[in-house]
Order: sequence, then C-alpha cells, then structure tokens
Amino acid sequence: MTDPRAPARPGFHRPAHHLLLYGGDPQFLAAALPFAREGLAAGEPVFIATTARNARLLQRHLGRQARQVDFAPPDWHRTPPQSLLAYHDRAHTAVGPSRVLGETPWLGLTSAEAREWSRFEALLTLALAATGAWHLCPYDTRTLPASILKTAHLTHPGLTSGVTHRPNPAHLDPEDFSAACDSVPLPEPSAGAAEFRFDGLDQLAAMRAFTRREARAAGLPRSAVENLLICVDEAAANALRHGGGTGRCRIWTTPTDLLCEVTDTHGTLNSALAGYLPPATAPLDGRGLWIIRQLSDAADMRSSDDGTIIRIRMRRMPPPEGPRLGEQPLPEEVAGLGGEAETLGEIGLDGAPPRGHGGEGR
Amino acid sequence: MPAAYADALLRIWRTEEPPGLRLVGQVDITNQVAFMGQLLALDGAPTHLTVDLREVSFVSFAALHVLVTFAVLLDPDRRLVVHTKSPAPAQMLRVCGWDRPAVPITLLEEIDDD
Repeated sequence: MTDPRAPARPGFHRPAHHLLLYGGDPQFLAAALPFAREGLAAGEPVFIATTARNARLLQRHLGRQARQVDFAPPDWHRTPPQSLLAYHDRAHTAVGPSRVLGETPWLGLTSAEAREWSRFEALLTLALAATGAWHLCPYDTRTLPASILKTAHLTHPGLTSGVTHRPNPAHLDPEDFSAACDSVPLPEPSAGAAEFRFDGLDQLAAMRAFTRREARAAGLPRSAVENLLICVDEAAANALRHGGGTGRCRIWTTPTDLLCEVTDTHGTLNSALAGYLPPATAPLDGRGLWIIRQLSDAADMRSSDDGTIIRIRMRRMPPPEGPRLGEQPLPEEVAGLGGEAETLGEIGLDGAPPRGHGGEGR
Repeated sequence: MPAAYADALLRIWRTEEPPGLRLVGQVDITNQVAFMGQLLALDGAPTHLTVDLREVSFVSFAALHVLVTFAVLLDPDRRLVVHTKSPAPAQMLRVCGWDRPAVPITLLEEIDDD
C-alpha cells in the first residue's frame, strides 16, 4: 500500500501538490513559468499536461527551453483512476525530483464525473507519496464553476501564487474526502435491469455469458465487452469470497452507458480507498478492485451492513459535447464538513465524511 | 493427442514444437490451479516456453496472475511467450506494472478488428 502520508518533497518541508488559481494569462505565467524554469535549471524532468492554449502560451514564453519540456498528448487525461496510475508511474520512473504542471479537464463533465476528478485530485497526494514529484494544478477561475474551485481547496495540501508556495489550511485528509464522495447515494438501477443470481464459483461462467449477451446487445465494442467481463468476474469472485457466498448481477443501459452492478449481502469492502491506489510492486493480493477501476470507464464501490455494491460503467458512445456541469439540481446541505459544506453539495458530495481518520481499519 | 487437462470450461494440451501449452475454452477461478499445475509440469524444458491462448475466450485476472507468477519463477535466461487474440492481457499486465523487464513475458497479439 502506498504510504498514506502527505508527501514532503525531498529538501522541502511542504507537501508537493499545489493548487494554482489563475484568472488570466499573466497570473498563470507568473507561477507556471518559474515552476518550469526552476525545474529545468535544477535538471529535473518537467512534464506539462494542460489545455492546448496554455501549452502554446508556455511554449512561446519558454522559447528554446520548451524543447526540454515534455508536453502531454491531448488525450493524456483519460479516466481518473487511469490518470492516477499514469502520474504515479511517471513519478516513479523519474530517478530524482520531477515537476508536473497538471490541469484537469473539467469542462463538459457531469456532476458525477466532476466528483470523481475531485477525488482524483485528493488521492493524487497519496499516489505521489514517497516520490520526488511536485505537482502544480492550475484552475482557471474564469471558466470553472465556484463549486469546483472551492473543492480544489479541500484536495490540495499546498497553495501557489506566483513564486510563493504555502501550506493550505483547508486541506482535508484524502481518505476522508474520498469517503465523503462515497456518501452520495447511487441512482437506483433501471426498473428493466436484466438480472443474474449466483451462489457458487461454478456459476461464474454462466454469469459471464449473461454479461456478454447484454453487453453485445447494448452495442459495446468488443474490447469494452472483454474488459467488462474481466471486471464483472472479479466483482463476482469478490462477492463469493468475501460477501457471504451469494450475489446478484444486474445490467441496464442509459443512452450513453451500460451499467453492470454486482451486489452481495455482506459489507466487507473498505471503500474509501478501495482499488484507487496503485498496488505496490511486490504484493499480489487485493488487485481485483484496482483492475475493475482501471479497465472500466468508471466504477462505484459501496459497502454497508446491508452488503457491498460494485457498479461498473462502460461507455456505449462518446460523451455528448458541451458543458454539462451543474445541469442536475444538487443538494445544498452537507453535514460535517464545516464551512465547505455548500461547496461539496454543489458537486454532489452531500454527506458527512466518516469521523475516523486515515490509515485506520484496514 | 489427448488433452493433458479437461473440464467443462477448459482443455489444455502439451505442445512439443514449440514446447509449451495450448488452451481452448475459458480460464477462471475454477481451473486456475489446474492451469498452474500444467505450467509447473513443463519444468525442465531447455528453452523459452509458449502458452497459446488464441482459442481462449476468457482469461480472468487471477489466471493472468498465474502466468505472471510462473514467468517470474523461470530460469533467468528463459521467457514465457504468450499468444493471444485479445487486447485484455496486455492491458492487465500494464496496469499492474507487470510489463516491466522483471516479468519475462513476451506477449504476441493477433487482434481481430471489431
């Protein structure tokens, strides 16, 4: 398991995951340029994954130095778990300190998607622990909704303005933040969901055949069907091993997605971090949930006394164009998150985080 | 040649040229131990070993883990060559960090179009 402490960058006494709010090119450049230049001057790898416009801006101002910078391809940010892995791998590949300017693509996300990207921001701090990576995350105050900007203050342990870097007093424990994300109720499955019940390992092949039929009927591409089969097989095996020996698989579709949900009757999942953090290199257990998050387009995992839910989402078609954030009316009130309650409500974090602190109960 | 292993989901044959296994069916939690047994029975082959998964319609994550575990146990100068028609094994190897040189697996993919 990755060390769940906020990372202090070697030679620095601050966590190395900073928020940069900018309202225009001068403010962006005042922080991003020295961040990149100081890194290059120190011989550190500098990686930039930002908007096409900001990338062009930096290239112009860096001049010849831009050739030393590694600019991300346009499709760099895929799903939040895949991006977590990509940044983690970069940080671990670098021999010493490294710098990343990483701007999450917020525009056009649904509330649920934005929530998962906020969770990504929180868990990035854990994924980078014990590496020499320093992440600076720019947020454009001209285009982003207030809810996204306020939540960013909860997910970054440091704040950057120009060349000033300081600790962020509003930062929440990443595990608590992730648990708060999981307090948002999942939408009810469609009434017309197809269902397959299982109570033994010898029924997994029939459950996969059921899943394959439904996925094909929903028009999923072959590679997505194969990934879904691996995910649902892991979820069902998990239900049989840890969930009381019986389970139920339900599949339904929306215009854009196929949803496949495996439920059991025992709540044994520690869901706040389940399957999110890149597994350490040596131990081989506990990677099933990780595989589900990596091979699906999204996965919700919830556990309570009533049982465990693993809901896998596969995209049937590309997401519609245009901003969707804020489309859905969301609860205004959040219990237990103090002054940031309204913020969390706006992106759907409408529940209290657990009182327990990170690192316990696993 | 009779199968070295057979159950309702999976049949496994030993192959001589190249030395290794050919699998037909599905490898999952119910037969992954038998699969490991067949891999271990290949011990002593003087060269790289081949596992032909081209006629396998499903390889679970745990079954892939069996392949990785076996590959890591091979003598240093030997590799496990895996033939597949699915893109899923390569993806699973990558996201688990098993695509590094420390895991001596060569994946040969023959991917059909959708």
